[in-house]
Amino acid sequence: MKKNLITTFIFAIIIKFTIVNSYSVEPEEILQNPQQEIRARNISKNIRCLVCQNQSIDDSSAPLAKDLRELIRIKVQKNDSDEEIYKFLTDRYGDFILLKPPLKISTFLLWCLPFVFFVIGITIIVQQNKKSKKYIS
Amino acid sequence: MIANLGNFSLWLALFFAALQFGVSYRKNNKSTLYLNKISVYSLLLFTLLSFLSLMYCYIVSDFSVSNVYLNSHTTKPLVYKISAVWGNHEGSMLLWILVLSIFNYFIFKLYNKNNIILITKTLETQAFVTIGFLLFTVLTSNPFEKIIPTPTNGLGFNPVLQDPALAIHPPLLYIGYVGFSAAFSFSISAMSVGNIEKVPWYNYMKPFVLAAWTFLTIGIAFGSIWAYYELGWGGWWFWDPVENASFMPWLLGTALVHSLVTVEKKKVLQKWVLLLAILAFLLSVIGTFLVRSGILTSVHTFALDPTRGIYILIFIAILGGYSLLIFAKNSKKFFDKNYISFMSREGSILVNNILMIVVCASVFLGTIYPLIIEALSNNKISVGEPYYNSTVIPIIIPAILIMGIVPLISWQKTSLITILKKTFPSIMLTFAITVTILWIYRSQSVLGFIGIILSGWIISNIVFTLFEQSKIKYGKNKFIKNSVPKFTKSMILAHIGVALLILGITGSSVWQKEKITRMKINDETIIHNYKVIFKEIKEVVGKNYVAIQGNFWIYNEKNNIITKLKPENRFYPITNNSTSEASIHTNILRDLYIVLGNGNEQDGWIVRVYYNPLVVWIWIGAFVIFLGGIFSINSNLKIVKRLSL
Repeated sequence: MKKNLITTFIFAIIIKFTIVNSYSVEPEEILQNPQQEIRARNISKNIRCLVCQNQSIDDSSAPLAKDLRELIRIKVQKNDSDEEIYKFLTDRYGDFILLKPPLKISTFLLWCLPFVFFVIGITIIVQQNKKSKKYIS
Repeated sequence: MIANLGNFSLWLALFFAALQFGVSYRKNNKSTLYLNKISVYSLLLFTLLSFLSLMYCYIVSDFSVSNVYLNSHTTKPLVYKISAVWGNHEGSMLLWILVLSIFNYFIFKLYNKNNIILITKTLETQAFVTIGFLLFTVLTSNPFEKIIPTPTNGLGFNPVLQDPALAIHPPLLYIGYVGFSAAFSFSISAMSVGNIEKVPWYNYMKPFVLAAWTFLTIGIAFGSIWAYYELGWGGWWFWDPVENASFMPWLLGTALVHSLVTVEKKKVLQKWVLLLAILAFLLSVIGTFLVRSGILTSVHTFALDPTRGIYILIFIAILGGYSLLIFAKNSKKFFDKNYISFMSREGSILVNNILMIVVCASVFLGTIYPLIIEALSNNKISVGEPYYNSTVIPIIIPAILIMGIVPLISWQKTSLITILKKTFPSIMLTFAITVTILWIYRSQSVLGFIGIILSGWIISNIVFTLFEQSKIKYGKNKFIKNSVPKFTKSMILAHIGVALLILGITGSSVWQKEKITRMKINDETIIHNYKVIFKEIKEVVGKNYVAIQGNFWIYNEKNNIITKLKPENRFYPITNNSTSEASIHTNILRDLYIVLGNGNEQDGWIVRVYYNPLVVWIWIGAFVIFLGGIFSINSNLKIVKRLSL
């Protein structure tokens, strides 16, 4: 029992130095200009944290995500356009970094099929309606 | 010792599942019933025994069992020792099998003199599914595997998962997934048996579908609650592939619950329901494949082993191939005798069914597309929240508009003018509600506007439905009685639940406010009329963690203290990781949500404060839907009981 207390006490000391629970955007990162900050945040919400699983860099606590957030903010301050910033990131990290996949040949089906599903659905409904009209008359 | 018993029981369970599968080939009804009784009861007994054995190993921390060693630790609180049983891959498969044999038992209980062939065939299919999962567990994921020499203590498990909501999340979800297995078996059975005139297979299928859907709903809600307070950034749904794996069967389940009603009332859409029942279960198994094979890497995934993936894939191929073949061959017998008018309750249900399928197909596409791209081209792409928002929301909106009208319109054909006439008061009320709420929140957000309209629309329609109903109840005009559509209290409840859910989703995603700041002791910060004062920071010691805990006093605009929030940063020395425990103050209008970041006394601590409006209505909504589901299960069981007379 006593031994347990001592170990916990030691851990309590360790904890002070080891906890790195920085959760996403840190106060020091935030830009003075609120409009620029909103732009930077909207961009970082679409950027995937490369070392995490299914998180945007805006939500991520990873150091790499922090670096990218700072990079984006620097570019926003330099008045780079959104497209320029996205292009800069995809040139370096590939399309994987975008949470919203760009429309390309390889993602054509991804973007177009939901629309096709919808059209098929509407067609079925219209057909059904025609059939029932015929039946009723 | 106990572990060996568990292992042995698992093999015995396999034997009885095989017996149950073999039974149905016998011609003699009496011996069929008798043998089925033996196998159903024994299967239940031995899976339960096996499950309890594993639980026992966890409770007494028997580290000679590899599974216990890897996922438990002596310092873990008892509750989490128990929930650790299904907090890992092998144990969760055992839970899956247990739930499967419980449902198996309930199907067996449906036997009466009229339905022997149908139930026997259903039990046969159910046995086949059970064999599949038992073999999977025994061959690729045996939870009773030994480790030599016996370690002195366990490796603990992910402390993020050490949480009450996540402890009951898997069992609830599994009731959902496995419930669809019953729907699947009934569908196969109905198609193989084919004599639809005498045996109302849909009446038997319905309670199981309802149970599956109801528990899936609440299971997903618990996962969401957990994500909300545990992952520490105030979100509650992330379009994570693992979440999608439970959301897709839920969508099909929603479609199935509603189209089953049309089969029951109007004998239309029978083929459709048979197909949907098959797809819902296949998607549940595919979901399991996605999660369990380790093919996705995501926050919730904790299993990595390719052999498992291949096994499940083959199993899916067999199930899918067999069931769809039977569907192609036998579904012709189930043609609809009545046609459906678009302007009727059954018509609206059909439209919404199709919209649900479209949503489900899009989510499915988004979930597997990155895998396909990676397999074909070695390129990696991400499909995240923005994709789902832009494909799902535009289809869900019309579906909800239609959903709102349904209680007011009757079965059979009505006209557009009647519908407009009936919904005119609700349109007015919706308008009034929307204006009021937007005025309170002074919002110009388009999404907020849409969300409030949808929520108000459902509620207004229900208000007027109830109003019309009360008119018949207390009025004497018999003519009105026939013109007012019937509804059930479970439907009203579930629909109100959806309205509340939408309200919560809208409020929390559109009007959230956030404050990220660095605070020293006695610093204060303001978020939406609330003053937050950082009073103190101290160390606390838990059973298997140590933590620093902040103490924040919250004042309202009149400077009255409302609450003291104590977010923690925990450190778990056993697994060497740390978690952050948000501290939340909830009322019906908003959540105040504080997370403590790192820092020290000189520079202060990073503090994140969120003002999350209406969040609690998400969980209340889900719970109300759940209640509606429970009522519906109850009333449908009564119908089933009457069938046996």
